[in-house]
Amino acid sequence: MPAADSLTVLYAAHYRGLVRLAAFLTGDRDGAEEVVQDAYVTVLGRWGGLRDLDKGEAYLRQSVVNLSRSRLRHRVVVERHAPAPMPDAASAEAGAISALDRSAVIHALGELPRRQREAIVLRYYADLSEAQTAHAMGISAGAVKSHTSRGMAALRHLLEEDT
Amino acid sequence: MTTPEDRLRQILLAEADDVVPVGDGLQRIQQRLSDRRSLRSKLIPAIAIAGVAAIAGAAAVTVSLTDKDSLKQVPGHHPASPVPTTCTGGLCEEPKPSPSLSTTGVTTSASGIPVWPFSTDAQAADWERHPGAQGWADDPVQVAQHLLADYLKLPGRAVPRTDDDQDSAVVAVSAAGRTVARVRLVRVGRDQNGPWSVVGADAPSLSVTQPRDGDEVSSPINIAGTAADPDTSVHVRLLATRALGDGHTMAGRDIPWTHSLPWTGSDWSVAALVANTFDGKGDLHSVTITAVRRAGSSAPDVPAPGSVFVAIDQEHVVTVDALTGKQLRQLSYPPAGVVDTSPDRGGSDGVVWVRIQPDACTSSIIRVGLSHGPAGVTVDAKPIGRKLPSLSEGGRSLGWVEQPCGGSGNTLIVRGPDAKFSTTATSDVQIRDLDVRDDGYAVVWSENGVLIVPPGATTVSAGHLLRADGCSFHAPAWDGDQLIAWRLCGASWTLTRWTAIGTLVSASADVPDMSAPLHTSVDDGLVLVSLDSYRIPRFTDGALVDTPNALRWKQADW
Repeated sequence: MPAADSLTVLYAAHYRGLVRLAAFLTGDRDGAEEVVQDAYVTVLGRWGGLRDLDKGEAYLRQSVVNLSRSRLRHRVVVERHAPAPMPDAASAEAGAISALDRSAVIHALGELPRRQREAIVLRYYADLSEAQTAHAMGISAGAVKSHTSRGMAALRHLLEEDT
Repeated sequence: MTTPEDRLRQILLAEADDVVPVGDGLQRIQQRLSDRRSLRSKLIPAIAIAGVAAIAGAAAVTVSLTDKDSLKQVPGHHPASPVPTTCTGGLCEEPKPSPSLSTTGVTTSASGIPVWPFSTDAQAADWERHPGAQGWADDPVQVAQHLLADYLKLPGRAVPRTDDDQDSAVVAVSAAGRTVARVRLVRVGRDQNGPWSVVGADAPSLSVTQPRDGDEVSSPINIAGTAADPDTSVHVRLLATRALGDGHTMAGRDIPWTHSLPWTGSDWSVAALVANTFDGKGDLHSVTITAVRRAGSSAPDVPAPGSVFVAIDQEHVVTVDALTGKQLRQLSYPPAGVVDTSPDRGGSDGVVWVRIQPDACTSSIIRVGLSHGPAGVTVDAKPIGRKLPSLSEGGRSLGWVEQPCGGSGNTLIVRGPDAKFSTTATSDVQIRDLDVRDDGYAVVWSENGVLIVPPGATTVSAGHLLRADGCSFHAPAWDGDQLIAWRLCGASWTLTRWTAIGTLVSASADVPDMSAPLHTSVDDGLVLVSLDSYRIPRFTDGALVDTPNALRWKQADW
């Protein structure tokens, strides 16, 4: 299939979902589209193009996970230099979210270690099996199970703290 | 029974529904793939020739064409930047599927009106897609060189710059062994990879005092200036994409020179008013550029009152439509490791914010115009922690709070009306928020309450304290005529209004659904408040009306 047609098919089938996946992984809705566009360019721009369209989604997903990690690494470098909050300038973040609601869960999700967050998002948002999640994250299925379990426990803990 | 995992799935799916791609992703990807293939088609012969040459040199060389990393850097391509998806208050762009960039306005994160070679966002975006023969526009020194040769048709050499600012540059131009101009440039466009454009130029021995940068002009332009040399012929031109006007006048040492320059044409909105002189040997002696706008060409894109606020998204400054909760525009592009914080609107279209360097303390205050008007004040970077910048409603006063790096204590600084005097007042308690008035008074919120601090005060505590028995006051703001502050009595919040000297004028009924305010701003009488519960509601008809997506931003101000 010509690359242009591959792109159209893969775009229609997966773009929106991958943007949402990237938004969860990076916590950055605007940046999510850039991540996913980079993934499409990376996968479809490979020398010789994408030979097996059926594997396109898996390749794209894996690329999105990797590119999201890169983006987060960059952000960590930036935030490392961010100023410590001034004691008198209470930020919006200082207010605790008291209700166990969607915002609290999304907030808590963003607090998780990267691999735990990836495992939970891939398992419970992308609805992937442990094997598929392992492929996307580049780790073993056992490690996926471990990260998912720890992530769920950490989520509960964070939400209990908030309430 | 719903398990925690099921509940989590439901929440994630619900949250995902709110993430809606802009809609032009396919076109962007297609463009990037096309650029990439185009590069490859150029690289293959080049690599092949290089390979043949290497083999001919008796070296056994294998050239790999399979390393995708070798093709990652595509000249002229830059990452997409967030794009607005709605139109409000004259600041937005066309909605999806493809962001249509302003053909009249321009986005910069430094001051000035770009005049050449790019004066609109659309031109900058075109360049980012296809630099073409203008590949040099990613280097301010080369832009200055091309300015002389291609645009001004003058001799001279641009000197390599010694600074490395990401957003603005000053490039010296020399001719016959002396500096004849300092060309000011800014990065334009909507991301940090935009091209450079000229916003003006100054000369050591020639100046134009009228018009000023950003002034609107009609024909003829009444130009005035000074020259440091005797009996100098000044060549003045008005240049847009073509020459609009041309004239000469004589100038003498320290005697103001004037010239009335007629011009023709109505197909331009921004132009460069160029003045230059030659010395007795025929060598270029001085060049100045003043960016002017055509009177009536277009109203500045100033948002309607009470419609758009500035805020922090991640570590940069953005504008947001308060009614729809859509992010409209990214105003600042701090370099890696640098953080922009505490934006504040003031004047007719001004915005100030603090830029903090990677040492987490050294700071400067940046001021830009929301429209393409010129910026005024920038407080230089110093190893001092600055916060809470405030620009008065008419833009005449600027205030902020300073704290020594690694030290404690707050000092209130106010540059009074038109920077004619300065207030330096110490505070033994932390200052939570600040608003300054055009007359140089400061409205300060500290742990002691809300105070009105007069110009010249040496301590914040010397200010007039708002009082009410059993109540406390929070998050004050000055609306140009009255001071407003939130009053907490028991568990009841009300919005109170005070005269300039601190006499209570009125109080609202209890405001339902209110929580602790962090910051209040007023635009044309309309109140916006940031609450500690992540909300950024407007106060309308005695009630709070929420901004959608408020979780996304912090430090909102309009």
